[in-house]
Amino acid sequence: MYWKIDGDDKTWSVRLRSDKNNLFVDRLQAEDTEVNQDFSINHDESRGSIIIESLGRMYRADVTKVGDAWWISLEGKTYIVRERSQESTSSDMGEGGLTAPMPGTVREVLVKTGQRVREGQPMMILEAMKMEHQISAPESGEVSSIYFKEGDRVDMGEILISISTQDSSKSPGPD
Amino acid sequence: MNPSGHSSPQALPQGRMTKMRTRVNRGDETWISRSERNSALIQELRERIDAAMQGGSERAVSLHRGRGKRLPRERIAEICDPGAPFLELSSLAADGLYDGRAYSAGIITGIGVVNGRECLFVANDATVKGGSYYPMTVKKHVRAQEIAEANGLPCIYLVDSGGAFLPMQDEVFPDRDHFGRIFRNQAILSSKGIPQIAAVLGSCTAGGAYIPAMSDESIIVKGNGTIFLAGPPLVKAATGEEVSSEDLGGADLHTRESGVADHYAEDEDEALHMVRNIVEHLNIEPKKRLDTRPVEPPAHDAEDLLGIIPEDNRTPFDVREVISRMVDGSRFHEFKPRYGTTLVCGFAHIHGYPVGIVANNGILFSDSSLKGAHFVELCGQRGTPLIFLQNISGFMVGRDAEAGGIAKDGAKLVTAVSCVPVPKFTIIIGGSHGAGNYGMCGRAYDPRFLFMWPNARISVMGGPQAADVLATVKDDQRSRQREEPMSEEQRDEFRSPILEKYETEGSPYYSTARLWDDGVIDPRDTRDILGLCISASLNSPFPDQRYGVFRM
Amino acid sequence: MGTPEWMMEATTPFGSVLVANRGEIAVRVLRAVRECGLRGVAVYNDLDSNSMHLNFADEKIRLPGEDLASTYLSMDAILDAARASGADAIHPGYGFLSERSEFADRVIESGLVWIGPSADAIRTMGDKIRAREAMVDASVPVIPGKSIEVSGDEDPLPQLAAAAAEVGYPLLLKASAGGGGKGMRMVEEPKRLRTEYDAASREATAAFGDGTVYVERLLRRARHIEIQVFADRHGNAIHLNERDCSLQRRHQKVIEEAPSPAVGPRLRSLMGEAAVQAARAVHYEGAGTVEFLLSDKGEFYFLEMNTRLQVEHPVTELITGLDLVHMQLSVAAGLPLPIKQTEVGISGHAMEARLYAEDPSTGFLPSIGPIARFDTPDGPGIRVDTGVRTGDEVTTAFDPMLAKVIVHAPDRASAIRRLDQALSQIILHGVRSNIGFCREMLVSDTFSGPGVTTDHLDDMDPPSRPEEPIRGILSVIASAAERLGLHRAAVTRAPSIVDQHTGHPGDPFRTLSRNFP
Repeated sequence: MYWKIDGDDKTWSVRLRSDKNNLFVDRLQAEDTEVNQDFSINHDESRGSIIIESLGRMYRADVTKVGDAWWISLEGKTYIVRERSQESTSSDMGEGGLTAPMPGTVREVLVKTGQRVREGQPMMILEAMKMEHQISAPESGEVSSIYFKEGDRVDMGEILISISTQDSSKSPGPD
Repeated sequence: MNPSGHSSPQALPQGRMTKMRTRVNRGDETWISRSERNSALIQELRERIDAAMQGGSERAVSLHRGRGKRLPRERIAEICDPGAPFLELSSLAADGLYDGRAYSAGIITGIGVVNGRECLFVANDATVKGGSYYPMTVKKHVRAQEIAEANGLPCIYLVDSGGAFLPMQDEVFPDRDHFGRIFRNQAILSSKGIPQIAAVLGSCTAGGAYIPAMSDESIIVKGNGTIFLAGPPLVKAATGEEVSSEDLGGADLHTRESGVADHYAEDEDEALHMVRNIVEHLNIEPKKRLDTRPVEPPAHDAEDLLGIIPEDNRTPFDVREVISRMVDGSRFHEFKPRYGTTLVCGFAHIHGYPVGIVANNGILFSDSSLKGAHFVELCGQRGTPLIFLQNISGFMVGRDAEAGGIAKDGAKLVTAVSCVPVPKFTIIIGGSHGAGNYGMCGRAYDPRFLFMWPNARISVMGGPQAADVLATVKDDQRSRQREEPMSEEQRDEFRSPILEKYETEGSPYYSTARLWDDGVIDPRDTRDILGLCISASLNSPFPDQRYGVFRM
Repeated sequence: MGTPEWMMEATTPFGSVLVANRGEIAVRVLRAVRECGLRGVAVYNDLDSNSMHLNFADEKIRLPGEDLASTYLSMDAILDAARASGADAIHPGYGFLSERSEFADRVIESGLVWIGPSADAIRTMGDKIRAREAMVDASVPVIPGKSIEVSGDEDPLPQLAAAAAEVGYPLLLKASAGGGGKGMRMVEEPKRLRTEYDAASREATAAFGDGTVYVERLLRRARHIEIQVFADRHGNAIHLNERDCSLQRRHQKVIEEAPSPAVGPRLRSLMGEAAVQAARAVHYEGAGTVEFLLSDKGEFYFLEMNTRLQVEHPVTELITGLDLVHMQLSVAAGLPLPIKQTEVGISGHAMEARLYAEDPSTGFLPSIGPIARFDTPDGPGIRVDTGVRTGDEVTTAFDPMLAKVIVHAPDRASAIRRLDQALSQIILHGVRSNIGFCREMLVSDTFSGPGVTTDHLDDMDPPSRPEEPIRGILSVIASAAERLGLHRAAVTRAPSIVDQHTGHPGDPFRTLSRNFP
């Protein structure tokens, strides 16, 4: 399950495991960083509260779900923790990918070989079925090859442009 | 501020319904010996259920868990609302059949609550025979779908099965109610607006592949979940193509490429959680409303049932003692108490729901049949669910009875029971024999649910009667061939295999193994189980009754 | 229901009281009305048909409409309601019509008893300029300031600038008919004068329909001290000690206490006498509050007089042991005050926090939404005056104040701890609130010392975000709650709530909790 806490930008990911009536934390991650913290989870059914033991302390939380968010009262403070649905990675989606999402004609090429592009920057326009379709950079990098020119016909799934991102670690962020 | 203007529903007078008196004598000898016997019967039931609930062998279970999978009952519990009841059906299906180890027929079915909505679960147990479909597995799956259809319950299939058990293909594949029926039911149920949801938590091969494919919405779990018409070995044999099962029909392929499944789950827990999310968005209409009352527990203790149920089904007892331990406040408004006294009919409430109860209190005569038919029609007209407490050796026989027209009066009862448009629930609390089974809403009369008590017996007639009938036939035969009638010794020898056969086949375990019922239950749980069944039945509307009530 | 026995000797007895208000104050007053053996009549508009205050009334009258102007603020609608219900007195609460002299007049003209001061007193004190003149005449010290008549046709700035120069910067611009922080702007230096004036007149027009402006010297590091006064028809006037309302955020009171840590017995009697003097100057009757600014040199200046029951009246009730609403009812009936000045004492320390539905992280914008859960604190010395409960909805239609938490303890330090503890016990889910903010204020060094001034909260940092380990724990809690299905469990635990799906509270799928077989 993925969560965002109001006032914090990080996405927290939690995987729970249950064994009979007990819940355990299998994995806790803040963004991509694994958090090694021991937890024991208990449920006070009479009050509906959740009791967590962690960091050598006991925390009692009263919780209410409002919409897609859990409101949590913990140690006299109230926090809002929102469910965040898992984002699909954009690189294999039709739009913005580097392969032709449909058969059609190249209408316009917007970049040159060797040019640096930012994530999301439009690189090529395809036309098919009288509709224009924009091909954007899935990530920042340098255009290494362009396989088609204006007017070329492309088939579905053909590679249109390749981007090298090897040097992106040296200069992250857009220029 | 205005004490007379508004009062709480609890303060409503309970009408003129009379609280039933009990005449039992706790502590007399009969009471004690009956208690002992019934305790032993319940103990045996408990042991059989516990064994079935264990599922597959320890090794199979640990292999299963090693793959990050839960046992099917744990999967269901994970999806259901915590603390809400789960009503498992036919836990003892296939009990004693095949090699005796097809526990629960390798499939768990039952009704649980998901996000406040009652749903029907069908969960394969891969630790039992790899989740293969034996004949009883198919029958149990199809029965679960029938329950879903009759009661309007969304279906949740937790799929983890290798498909049909090939060595018994003749009992699994070709006939109307065999494997194909499952998929036909999915289509028909879906067409009736009953949601079909599948979570693929293990393999889903061959015919099994159609379960997710025929569902309205499906989930597949990464790694463990696979869907294909033919597995890698069969593919290799057919086309020579070598392919891993993940590549052939894994979660990634089916959610990204084939679109056979809709949701991709990282692990089993996530898949189970997704089922909850799907149910949350089903847009299920509110249940049918009955004129309910605040719930009142029975005034007499259900524990007493153990001292009330006789050791032998031929021993008569007052069925009102049973009714008073099932209904709210032990209040029962009896209908025609002075007429046709061998059938007790009346109105009561169970868990606040209004019910009509039809209970045997002896053999069925013409008058008791007419009374039953009248009462059943009454419940149909009022939209009151009907409960049948079956303990019947049959309709009265003999010249007087035939001359009195018992056949046509019995037919009236059977007609009323067949056609009444309200949900019917049958509990076999003693014997269930002959046409009595029909008049009292046996399996053939589509009760929404049918349960048996562990002391119950079901057969066309009682064992001793059958033995006597056959012995008489035999003697007739001998006399035609001018032989002596059988000696007492010969007669016993002739009777004993018949008695034995009837004893075995009449047992509730023989019945429940073959899905003639929806389970054998602890008599003390009857009230709660009936409450759950009535509640579940309200998920579908009642059809109209076409005629007025014929006074009989 | 007729007149209760205790009122038999009164000159203007009444048997039933219409409370022309809503929320916590309506609950508070209706409770007192019933305690005094009177019949309580509540009013409500179409957004309030299910509100908490209606549970405390013997009769409720609908004010058709959703907007305030045609309901709670409509004199006609309230008077019609009084007629329809047969009420013979009206208690206005605070806000709404409580300080409208015309309303007081009309109530009395209709032959009803007005539970409040005379229309004249309201008129005088409601006009800041006239009030100031009256105070000067009565030798009550006033803050340096000047009033300006603004007509719509000419640019008021030259006039304003001249007055500002005379009074001196920094200063406050106030709309004459303003109040509660509306139409009030601070001006640090001459070049901000126009901008702030425009803002003030806009706010004032929007809120009260009057554009007259008052320029007043802003006293920095001053404390806001107010004196509760009470006067009867028989010429008796007393004060019930001071309240310290220095902890304000943008001129809105947040935490109030009594007695003030900055006021000793001598100062108290000086300020008390001045307040009684102020009340006498306008022939006051009933409960009123005289607000003063207390400079760090111990000089105090008359600020204004509130001619109604104050939001923060409970702190005075706790330290004096009096019930101010009971006293209002008895004075309105024409009975003499039940207590003499010499009998008024101070017991312990009382402190109140106002619970607002507002979001500190967005600069205290009002927060709206369902009150999915509201558990109030309890324990010795804790009083909660609330107008909402679980299941209510907070909308922008009404004031964002939900409730007040008031504590009483032997001394100031323990009152602070008690209030902090009480606030920490509150569970309020569905709308954001200033609870965390109040707690931070309470434990801040400036507050626990005596040095709090009205500037304090404007200097505070925005709330800090939770520590990393707590964030981990929060996400685990949310996951566990989800897995345990607590969003539904909450419904099953409250048997009174019938869920829409089953429609039967006894549905065994909701009431049973074991598996079968």
